[in-house]
Amino acid sequence: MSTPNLIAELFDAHAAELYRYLARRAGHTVAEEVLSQTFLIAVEQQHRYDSERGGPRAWLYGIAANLLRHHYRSETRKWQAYARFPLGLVEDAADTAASRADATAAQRSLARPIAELSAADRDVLLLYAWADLSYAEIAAALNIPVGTVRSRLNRARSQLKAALADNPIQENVS
Amino acid sequence: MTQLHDDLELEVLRSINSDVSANPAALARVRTRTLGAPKPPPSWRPRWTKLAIVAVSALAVGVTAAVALPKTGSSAPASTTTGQQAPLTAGQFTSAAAEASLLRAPLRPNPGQYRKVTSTWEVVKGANVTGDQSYRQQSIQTTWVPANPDDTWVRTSETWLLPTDDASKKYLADHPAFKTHEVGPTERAKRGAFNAAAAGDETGDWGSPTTSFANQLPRDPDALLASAKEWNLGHGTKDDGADLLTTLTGMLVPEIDDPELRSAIFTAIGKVSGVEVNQAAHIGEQSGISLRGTSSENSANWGEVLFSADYQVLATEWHTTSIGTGEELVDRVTYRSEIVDSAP
Repeated sequence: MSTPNLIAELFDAHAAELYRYLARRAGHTVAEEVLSQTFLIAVEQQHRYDSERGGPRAWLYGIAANLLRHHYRSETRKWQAYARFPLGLVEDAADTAASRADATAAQRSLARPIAELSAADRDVLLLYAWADLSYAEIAAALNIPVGTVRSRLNRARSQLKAALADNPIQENVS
Repeated sequence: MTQLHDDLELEVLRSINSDVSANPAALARVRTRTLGAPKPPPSWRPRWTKLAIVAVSALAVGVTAAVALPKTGSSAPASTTTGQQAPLTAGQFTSAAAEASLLRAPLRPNPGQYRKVTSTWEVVKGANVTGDQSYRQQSIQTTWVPANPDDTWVRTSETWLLPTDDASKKYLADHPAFKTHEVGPTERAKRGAFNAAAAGDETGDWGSPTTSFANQLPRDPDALLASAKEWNLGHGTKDDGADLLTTLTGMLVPEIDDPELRSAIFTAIGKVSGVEVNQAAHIGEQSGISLRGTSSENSANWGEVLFSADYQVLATEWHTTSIGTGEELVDRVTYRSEIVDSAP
């Protein structure tokens, strides 16, 4: 299979979901930037792709996770602002100003502990919760043992649980 | 306890930004850009697209002062008879600052008083865009540091959403109930450990400076620099001029009342390559001498820290440029400090 076809197939299969994950974390502008860089790297390094190690999603998310580390601090600032202010983390094409104002107290209560997570813990948490990667896929993407994935995820979830306990849910989650 | 209850925090987390969808136009652009472009050269490397932003909790503060060259010992060049200033190197500036930090008696609050530190963060270019509306976000964080820093600190924050175009102004006029100002809760924490993950865990780190963290930092500049580099690499940033300047200057905070530590930090900054001095710097309405650090991967990304005549941080500004869109984003933080008789 030629180089362009392999990456083109991966793009058509996974780019949209990867873009959505990146946009949820860092906004549409960064999502487009990082997605471009991810697939440019994929083209350049496709000879290193090992289909037996986590699968294509893990490989692509791993490249993207490395690139997203450059935006760790700006992402942290977005979470900090979200904790204080209901405007969404992500600029969107729709008129979301009013809907963002409805962000529940429960959602905002998670923003501060997420802002305080290390890059490594935040990656594991959001790859699990937002990208729906399995433990094995996360381990392959981040090049860490599955046990480390479990411990980081447990630690991050404990912090979120504590934040929710301090801010009990008063309404249905939107 | 049901499984749903066990996973409640995950369900709440998954609901955040759950309505975000992939932008078809953006996907098409990326596909063309990546699959339609020629194979990149072997030396191609990913680039910075945004630079780290100084955390609002980095509260180095100074009073507005007239611009003046440091006049300490032999570390600063004297003015020429024509009034022109000889070029100042970063090493000379930081050496002067390090020396002055040891000599200067810090302004300290009396027992019962507080040092009130105010930092204002705002995006001055590249405002947030929501649909067809453009807004600028501004937040002010105020911290009261007790005369004994081991006592309880107090912190408040306010955030504003400011309309910056006709569409956003019209939207606010049509939706008067939409909140554009939010006041956060008043927080209290011993030794400034506001971000402690758990009670009793007050260590802090380079990104969340606390008295406890400052006390355990080495006073040897090389060890300080190694510590900052290690933290940077563990937090997705680099050991280049821009990121190290961010990390190290984040600890130049007035509540860390330790002249020896401040001196060591300045000396450590002097050892970072890629940091330059701007002797006629302006950030907002303030002017002074600044240190500038540039990203090693993209020279369009850089940060600047503006100092007062007595080497207190007046303001910081960080510039990042997207290599895809060319859009420039500029973040600015300004600082102010005063001694007050009480806290909220």
